[in-house]
Amino acid sequence: MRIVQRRGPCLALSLTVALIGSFVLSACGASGYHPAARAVGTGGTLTVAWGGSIDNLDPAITGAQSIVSLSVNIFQTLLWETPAGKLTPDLATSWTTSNSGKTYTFKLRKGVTFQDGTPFNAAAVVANIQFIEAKSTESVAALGDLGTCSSATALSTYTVAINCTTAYVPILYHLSQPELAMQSPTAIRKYRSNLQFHLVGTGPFEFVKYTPNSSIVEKRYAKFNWAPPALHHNGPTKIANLVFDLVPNDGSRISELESGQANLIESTPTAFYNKLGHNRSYRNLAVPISGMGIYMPFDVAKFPTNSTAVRQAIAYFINKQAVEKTALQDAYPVLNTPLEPGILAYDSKLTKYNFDPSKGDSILSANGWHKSAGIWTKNGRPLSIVLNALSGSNYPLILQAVQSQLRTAGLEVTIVTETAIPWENVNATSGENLTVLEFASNDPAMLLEFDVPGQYFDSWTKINIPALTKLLEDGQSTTVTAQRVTDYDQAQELIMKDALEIPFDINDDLLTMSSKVSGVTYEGGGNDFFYEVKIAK
Amino acid sequence: MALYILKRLASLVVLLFGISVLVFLILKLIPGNPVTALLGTSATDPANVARLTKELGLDQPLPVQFGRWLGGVVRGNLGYSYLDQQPVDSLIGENLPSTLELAGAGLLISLVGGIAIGVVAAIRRGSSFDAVSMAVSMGVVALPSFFLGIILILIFAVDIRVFPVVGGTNLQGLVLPGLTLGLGLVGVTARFVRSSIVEVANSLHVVAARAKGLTPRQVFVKHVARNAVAPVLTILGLQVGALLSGTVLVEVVFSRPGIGRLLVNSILDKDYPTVQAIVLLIAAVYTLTNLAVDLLYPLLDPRVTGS
Repeated sequence: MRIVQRRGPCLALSLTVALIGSFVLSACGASGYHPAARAVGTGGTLTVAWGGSIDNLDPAITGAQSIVSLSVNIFQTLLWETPAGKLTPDLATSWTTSNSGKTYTFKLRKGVTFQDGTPFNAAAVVANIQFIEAKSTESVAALGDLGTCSSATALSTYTVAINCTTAYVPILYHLSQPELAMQSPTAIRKYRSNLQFHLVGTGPFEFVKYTPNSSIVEKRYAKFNWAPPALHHNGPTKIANLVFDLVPNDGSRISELESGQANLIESTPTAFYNKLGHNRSYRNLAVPISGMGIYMPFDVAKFPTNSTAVRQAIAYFINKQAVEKTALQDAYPVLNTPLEPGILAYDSKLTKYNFDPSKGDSILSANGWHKSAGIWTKNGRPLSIVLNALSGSNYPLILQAVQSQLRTAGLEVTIVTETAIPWENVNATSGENLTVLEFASNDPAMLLEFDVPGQYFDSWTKINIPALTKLLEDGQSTTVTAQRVTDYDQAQELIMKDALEIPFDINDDLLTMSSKVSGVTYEGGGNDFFYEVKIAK
Repeated sequence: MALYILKRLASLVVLLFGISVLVFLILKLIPGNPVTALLGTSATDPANVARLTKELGLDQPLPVQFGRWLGGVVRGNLGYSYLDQQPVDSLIGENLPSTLELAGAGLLISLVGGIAIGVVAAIRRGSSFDAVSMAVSMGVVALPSFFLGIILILIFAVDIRVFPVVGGTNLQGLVLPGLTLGLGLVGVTARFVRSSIVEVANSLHVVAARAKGLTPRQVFVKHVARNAVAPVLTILGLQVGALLSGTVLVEVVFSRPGIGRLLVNSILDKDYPTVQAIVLLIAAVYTLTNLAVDLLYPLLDPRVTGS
């Protein structure tokens, strides 16, 4: 039955089209979405789709290495580490170490001003150290980086001494990391715990706005004229603005790049990294994050991984190359050492566990294990282990592939997958035998965190080997570099011989960018640096 | 009528109380300890765990814990987020506007699209438009919103490039999420509007109106549309629930801030106070909307009374 004439539907449709159309048009016109205009042209905007989650944007407070890559372009540090791992001047022009290794004296660059106009000088350095050390700040990574160096003294306007209670040589490398970036003392005084919304540094980009779960906006600091000499380039940035879209969803980041809304994406999913790498419109850059790479520490107190033989056998049962291929599309190089290449004391000649199931079988058989119904058992107990995976990362994929290989080898393997905080708690409360994680730092002293009793991460591994403890403590306190290398080399050999961990792969941050973007670099340590970026028309 | 409203409000309070008891108990059954979550790297020290357990009152019996939480809610204190280390009400305050924008856009699209298609399909009942639009409506209803979102991104952001993939809270960034949320409900609304109009159009009073010589427009506006709109109002109330729950997926797909994404993160991180507060908020909005619909009903259809 037709109850009205034909004009009725036309009116209804017109109304619908008009309403939706006006909604769409108003949306388009509201703030002028023009992806091409936003993306191209020198002096334009570099939009980065960022995948990580942010605990606190303030580098002095955050506990996550990835966060400092967001603020590294706003700040500068006393020292600059080149991608090759060499320490060079930045806000400090020269430095000396006392014989005791307890005092580090820095001559500071003159004529530097923070983005709020506050002059940079020794008093600013003292204010930063005091801010990090203050209990109310609740600093995590920065406090760890300072180690025993808990105070600073202004010796003159442009000379400052950092004082440590015991010798702490890693402080020099740590002072090149953005966690120990110099923030404006005026801003520190004014904003304290709310500083993440008012970041003020001396770097090439000036903080504009941080909208949690949405974006971070930075703009060119026009007065910037004190770049690290190692860059051989000075003056303000070519691009006018730097925008980080905070996009945890992998697919959305890829779509942002493909749509032109973003010029660059961080944490490119491995499958897309390979695919887009073959497309002329895009370019890949693997930024090596200094540290222990991606690796698998054992809980050496929990049965059955409390047995060296079991740990060694597991190491032989895992085919890292195959895991890389199936879980990560061969996007990352395999790692066989506790320290990544480029770090002081990296040694490629340490004991290795190349994939060799027959060696694993022999070790287990020699230690009283025998196979029953395809499962290794000893004294009636099966060789059963729990793997703890952090969700929202590649780790579950890695551990699923490992689980498959270990089951084939005759182990019972269970995977527990948790988000960050519960994952940490499971690791710290003996709920697992093996986990997988990354640890970033630019000094070999980081080994101490996992391998010496009393350190937080040692609550994960329960490692207590006096000889290893001594080597790591000596390496941290000796000011003779050659001796440090020897100490850490021996420490790594102990770690590998006892199979305290399984190094897995190099920790790269996979970046993919439009081929129109050039000049993306990184500082030693693995933080993306956009100072020299240009965007072609 | 006043008595009816009072009765409904009283039942609303009972309902929300029941929901809060249920949510509280379910969260207590989930494995995991909020104290260790809150302490993070300091959770290895049993003294720290014991101290914080006492501070948070988690050493008290469940009824006492629930009573304290409920007392706080009544006073406007929704608790303290373990994960974000700030009061839950300020967390919700930060995220709610974005979710309301998204739900509003979805509602607008579903109403405008659904009513227009439903009306046209009813008017041209049996036509190819009717058949196609109802089939498409069914298809859209069946399409998962995350899949629809990805399709819309590929077409309108990647290929045509008229809308951004991620747009924060800007209006331009609201279009694709709004369409993702609203299009699924367009199908439901269209089918409901169509059947409602067809039913009213076949009733005797409409035949009588036509027999009196009224024009088709007068018949439709005065006698069909007005009577057909009341059932649509019911759908509107029910859709509020679908819109609020739909924001959870849409906010994740489009990386938008909002209480949906906050809820997902809070569940994954065992941030119980935030989960409790958000679930209670969604339940309150849903029940209040349906109460409002029930109160509007007698105004649209005098045959329906409060009793």
